[in-house]
Amino acid sequence: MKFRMKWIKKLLVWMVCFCFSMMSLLPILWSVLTSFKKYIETQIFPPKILPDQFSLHNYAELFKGSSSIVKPLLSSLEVAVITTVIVLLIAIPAAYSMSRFRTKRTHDIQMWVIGMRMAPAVAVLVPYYIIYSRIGLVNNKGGLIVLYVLSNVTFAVWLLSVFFDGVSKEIEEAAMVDGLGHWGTLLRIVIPLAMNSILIIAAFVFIFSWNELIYAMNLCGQQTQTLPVILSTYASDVSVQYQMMTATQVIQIIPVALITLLIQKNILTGLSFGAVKG
Amino acid sequence: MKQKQKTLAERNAVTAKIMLAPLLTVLLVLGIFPGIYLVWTSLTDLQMNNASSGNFIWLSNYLALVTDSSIFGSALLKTLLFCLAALPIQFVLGYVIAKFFMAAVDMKGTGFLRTVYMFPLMITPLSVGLFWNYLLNPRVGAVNFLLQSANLPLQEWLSDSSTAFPCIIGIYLWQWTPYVAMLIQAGLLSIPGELYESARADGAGLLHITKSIDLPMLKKVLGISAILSLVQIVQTFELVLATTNGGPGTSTLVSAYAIYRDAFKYFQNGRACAEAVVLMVITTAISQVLAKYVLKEED
Repeated sequence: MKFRMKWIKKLLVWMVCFCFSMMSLLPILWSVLTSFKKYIETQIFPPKILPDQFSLHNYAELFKGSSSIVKPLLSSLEVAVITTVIVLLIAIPAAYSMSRFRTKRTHDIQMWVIGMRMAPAVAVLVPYYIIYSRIGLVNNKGGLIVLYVLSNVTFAVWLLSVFFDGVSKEIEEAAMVDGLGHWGTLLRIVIPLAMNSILIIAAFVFIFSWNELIYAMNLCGQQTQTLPVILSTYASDVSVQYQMMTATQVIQIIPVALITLLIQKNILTGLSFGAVKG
Repeated sequence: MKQKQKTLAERNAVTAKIMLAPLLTVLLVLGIFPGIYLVWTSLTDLQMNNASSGNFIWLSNYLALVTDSSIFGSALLKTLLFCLAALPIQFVLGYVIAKFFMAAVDMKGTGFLRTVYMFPLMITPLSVGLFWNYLLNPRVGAVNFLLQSANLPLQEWLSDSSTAFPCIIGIYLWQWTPYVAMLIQAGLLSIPGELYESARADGAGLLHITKSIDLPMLKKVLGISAILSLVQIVQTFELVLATTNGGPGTSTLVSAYAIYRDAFKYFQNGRACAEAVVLMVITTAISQVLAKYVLKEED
């Protein structure tokens, strides 16, 4: 009897958790369903929950004609991938250095690093926009990547040094006795051992760049628009084509969703600067 | 021997510097220089569409922020109001939800539910704003449909100046309560189970457990979550862009959006720089507290 009561209680608790996750999921699901609807179906009240038929028409439309999203999609991908690579190239040695050669100055640099990360994007954008307009870097993917590197490298260094602190130093010392220098140890011992963490950080940097709007919106021209910039045009539209908007959103979210599922155990670690282990 | 050790230490120091060099170069060139430029511009009357502007005007921009019935001043207050209204709800709700997920932690599928529950965190606030804008559409939105089904009066939501700001806060809470909830749950996981058992054996109620075990044990996690959430709120921009553009009137004009509007709609670049400096100072202060919290753990 007591056992059964306990079981029912557990089930009820599970149901409540289920409701919480539905609260997160349903609004997103509504968007996904809308992306299959026809324009007319988005304009009726009361709205229908399911589309009359699940047609991929809106998605096909997105890839057609002069306003096709292929180019922004590729721009987004290009910018995000290049940013991720550059960030890792700068951050891995820096984080290793901070983690292994701890001095008083390291502490100052860490403080500085986290302060930079927290700077409001708008406040960074205002001077950058003026500088870029003067030196002709507006409408240039390179200019955008520079800003993405700046805003992500701090995050990556911070988190990587937390991860590197966790890599056993004994193996490294053994390697150094065997004549491997610091660079050799970093390349052959530390990086392979910390590969998982490095991939998680790469995933985060990719998503941050993939999602970024404020810089892209103000520093991109027609030729270099990224996907969020295309999405933002739906914000000021008075007669929004909700079915097209949601289809674009779904495409924008797909890579994010896939990566989220891959790194689900580490999301918290990333989002809390390693202060909390997921 | 001693001689050799010293040279090794020296060599280490050189390697350490070389490894740090690219990062420091990036931060210096891309961070400090534009920072100085920002401060300099904040002391001028620069307007990007006006060639005769850019004159040095001392602290006039800053004085304008405090003295005149400045819009940025009220936008800062709006951000403060945002924090005061959102944070308590976010934390109480987050704690309750974390407790539920803890209670179900050993059941099948809870891990998956957790990932689903956290999913809003990974979506760009722009997208979140856009689909909530649709859900809250007074004419064809799903939320009004729910109200109608429950025979409640329909609302104008984001287009009514009395409900727009609460809606923004609501959308923020939808996206970021999972953040706090999951951080708290991670904290709860590290509390040894015996503490709860002995408390229960003493006949302690839920409230007592919260007060005597959870709150003291979660101090650090709560501190970090509060600071990260604060920074998140101060940065709120895309959500406003996707929903209200600061309106109706100035009812949802938060500080980050006000800076953007001054710089890119009104071309008051000098003034926008002054506002950016103010916001930078505020967030830097907050983030230094965070850095202290995080670094403490390692010592």
